[in-house]
Amino acid sequence: MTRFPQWLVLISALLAASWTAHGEVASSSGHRRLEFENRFSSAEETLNYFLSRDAAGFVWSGYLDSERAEFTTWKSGPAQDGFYLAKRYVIRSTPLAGDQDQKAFTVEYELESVRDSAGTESPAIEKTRSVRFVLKKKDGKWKVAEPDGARYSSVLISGLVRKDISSR
Amino acid sequence: MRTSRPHFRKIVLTSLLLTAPVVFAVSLGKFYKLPNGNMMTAKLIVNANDMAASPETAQLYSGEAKIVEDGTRKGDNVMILETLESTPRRIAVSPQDQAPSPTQKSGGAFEVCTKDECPPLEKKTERPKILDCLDEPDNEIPDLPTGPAPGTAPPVSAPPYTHIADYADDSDRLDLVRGTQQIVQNYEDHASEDLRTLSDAYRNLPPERRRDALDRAAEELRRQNRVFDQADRSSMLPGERLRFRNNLSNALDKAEAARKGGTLESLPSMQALASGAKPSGVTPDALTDRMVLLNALSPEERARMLKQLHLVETPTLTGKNGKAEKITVPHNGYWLGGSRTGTDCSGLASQSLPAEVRKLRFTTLDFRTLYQLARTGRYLPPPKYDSDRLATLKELSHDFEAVQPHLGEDLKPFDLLVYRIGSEPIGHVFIVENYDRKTLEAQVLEASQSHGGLRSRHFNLSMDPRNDPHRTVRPGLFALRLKKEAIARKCSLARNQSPLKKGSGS
Repeated sequence: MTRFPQWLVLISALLAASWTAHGEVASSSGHRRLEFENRFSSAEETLNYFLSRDAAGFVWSGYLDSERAEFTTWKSGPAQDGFYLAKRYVIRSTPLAGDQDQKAFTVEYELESVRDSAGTESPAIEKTRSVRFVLKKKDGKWKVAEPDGARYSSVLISGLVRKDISSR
Repeated sequence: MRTSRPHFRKIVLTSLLLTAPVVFAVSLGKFYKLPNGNMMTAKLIVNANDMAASPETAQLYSGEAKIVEDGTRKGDNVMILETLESTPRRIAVSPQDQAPSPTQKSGGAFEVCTKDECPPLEKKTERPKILDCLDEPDNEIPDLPTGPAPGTAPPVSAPPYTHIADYADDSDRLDLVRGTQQIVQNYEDHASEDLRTLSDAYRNLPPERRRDALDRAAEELRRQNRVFDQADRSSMLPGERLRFRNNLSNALDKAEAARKGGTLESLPSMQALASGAKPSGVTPDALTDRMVLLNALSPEERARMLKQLHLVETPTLTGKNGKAEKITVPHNGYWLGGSRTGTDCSGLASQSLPAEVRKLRFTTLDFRTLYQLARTGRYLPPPKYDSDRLATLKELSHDFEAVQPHLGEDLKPFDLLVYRIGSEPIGHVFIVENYDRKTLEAQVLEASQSHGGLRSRHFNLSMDPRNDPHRTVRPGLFALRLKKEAIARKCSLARNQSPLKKGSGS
């Protein structure tokens, strides 16, 4: 019988422990299509959908009222002419005591720069950006409640939008 | 006793020699009054509205004057000074913030002069900063023919010319605000009209053709997405590229969903129209709905429709194979990066400015740089500008004043209220309609991306509770105010170009 090398078992165990401890549920993925209805059964799925749309620039520009109403509790969407550009992001669940209809997550972005609509690039002061998201269950649907829409800064993932944001 | 007589004469002569100069001086004093204590006293009548002189400023800028009485502190317009030398010297007392050097004759300073040097009193009836001056010996102050007694001056009843200019300035600013309001209203009217026109066109289709229309919308939007994806987009601003792509992609997703459902009536704006409501055309949903509705038409109908629609762009994109293809993109007034028929927040602000100042399509970063230039006169990178753009910004910065709300400076109508922190992507610009300094609340006009159009709304400069005694202004907020001179140039240009003038020749 072939035995696994001990070092491999040890590394696997460490990786598994790290995964559980951080509660990592997803990482950046590709361009998500518009969903007309929030059929997601978990807060994680809703957040993943929202972040995927944001990563491709759909929250930053032309965010539909119908989409906002379906996936967030925001009264208004972001109104900023600039955005962060990041390489990737990681979602980690954050324990939130008490309320069953509320869930918190921390999203950590690995930042590249700050851009505006004219393509002007400014350096990001910090290499990473950590944003706390709170999702609330409203009418049976998980929706993004925090950060507030008016204060939300979009973070686009360079791999998804590189062609569209490169300077002229 | 003989010996005592010459002694007596000697004493008398010595006394005479010693007292003669004193007697002579006393006699002279009857004809030539010397200033008391070797000082000259000047009574100066100053315009209390223009002057903010105080003993401190007088001494600071003259070095040789002592103010005996400063009526300007009591609301009067009289100031009494003593020179500290026997010869009259010019004394400069400076208006606030415009302190000239002691030797400067004009620029708000006034002079002390001797009686002979002073012009006749009656000829000084006009209203310069110095109304009159008199050399009065022995600190004797006569009644003043042109000013009330200290402490009895009534409040200014008629505004001086500078105030009238201020009034005219505010009026001009409100005119500029009204111009911007009209721009906003025009966009909204046009978007709503476009939505009704397209909706009517779809409803007029016979039921058997509606299914084809859904297929056509999906197919055409798929083609446009493909063209856009494969096109050389290097000539477009990054903001435009993303917005194009997002709108096209959202419209395609909607068209596909409507096709699956078999009807366009599922579109939010179509539902609203069907229920008899009058939906606003300037929402992101209304925009994508119009894109679906327009592309649901046959090519011939679409070509006809394009002539009727207000808010639509037909950019030509060139693919990598060199083939040029047109795409049809309706919008609702907000077009990131700006276009022939649309604008965005910084575009609306740029569009609202008088033509002579509107030399660039500004971004919020440009406004931040303008603010920096107007405030300090220096350009502090980052950001990194190309030399032409930076040169234009430097030139235009002379037309603006930097207003700092976080230092308690009030906003005025038509101030450009900008929210921008250089190192963060947060940027937005409002045009101030009015401002309540008590609540820190501004009524603003904006082109809003989240709203998808242009609108007027409240914006509070502070996020602290209203009853908080120490409310702070949000960080990153600053304002740019068009200078009076820049507005005056605009007004004079407008008058010169007035059709009335052209037509009547008057």
